[in-house]
Amino acid sequence: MLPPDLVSLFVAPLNRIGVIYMVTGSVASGTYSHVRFTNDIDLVAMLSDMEATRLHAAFDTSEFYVPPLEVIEVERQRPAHGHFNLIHLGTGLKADLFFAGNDALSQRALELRRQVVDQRGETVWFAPPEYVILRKLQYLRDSGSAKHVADIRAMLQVRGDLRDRQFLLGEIETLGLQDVWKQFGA
Amino acid sequence: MVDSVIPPQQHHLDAEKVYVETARRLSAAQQLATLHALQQSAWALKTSLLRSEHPDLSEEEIRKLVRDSFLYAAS
Repeated sequence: MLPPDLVSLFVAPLNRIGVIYMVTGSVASGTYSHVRFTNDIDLVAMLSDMEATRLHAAFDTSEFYVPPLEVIEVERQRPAHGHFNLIHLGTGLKADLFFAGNDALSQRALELRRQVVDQRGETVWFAPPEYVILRKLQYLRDSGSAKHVADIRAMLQVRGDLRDRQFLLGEIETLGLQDVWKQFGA
Repeated sequence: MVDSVIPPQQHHLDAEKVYVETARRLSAAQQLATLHALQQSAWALKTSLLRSEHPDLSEEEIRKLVRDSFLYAAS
């Protein structure tokens, strides 16, 4: 039997309950370009109140740290930046689950998510590469973390075929990321 | 990931505490097994993406591209 990983622990339950989600962050940039080994997975999801209840029930508290349902509901109802953590107690693997809320960019990315299948045959929906880059640019601006520089450079290097470069450049302007984008000379 | 721009809520602090406690409790063997699982998963996801994006490539060509991406792997 394969040992648990980020997909089997955190993505498979979302598939089972039919949540619309996408993987972003370093797992996505690593899949799109050079692999990055990380023990957490960033997920963006759109959930109804019923789905929030099902999601909470999908993670057994004897195996996972899961915040109370009331907390998930409060985060879900935030217009922006709602998020919470799930932690698998047996491995220390972690998921950061962000709610799309009213964020037009996240909603658009969810419409354009891409399907990949893992070694168990589990479907994994990934955010489009343009979205992954945009979010990493935001985190780079806010945190200055060098890992985002490396991830963005790798994605631009490996994925010279970004399908929607115009969209990327337009969103960089909309989000006020021109200054941080300049260092990539792309 | 966005904690730098959002004021921490109590549940985020609780999660951080659980995360640190869990990491301290894990043995080296458990951590190694998890790392191995992460490698297998990353390999499978990368392979699947390349297959879907480049249906013209042979399995050997796909394997080479995946191997190359692991050469530059970071943590």
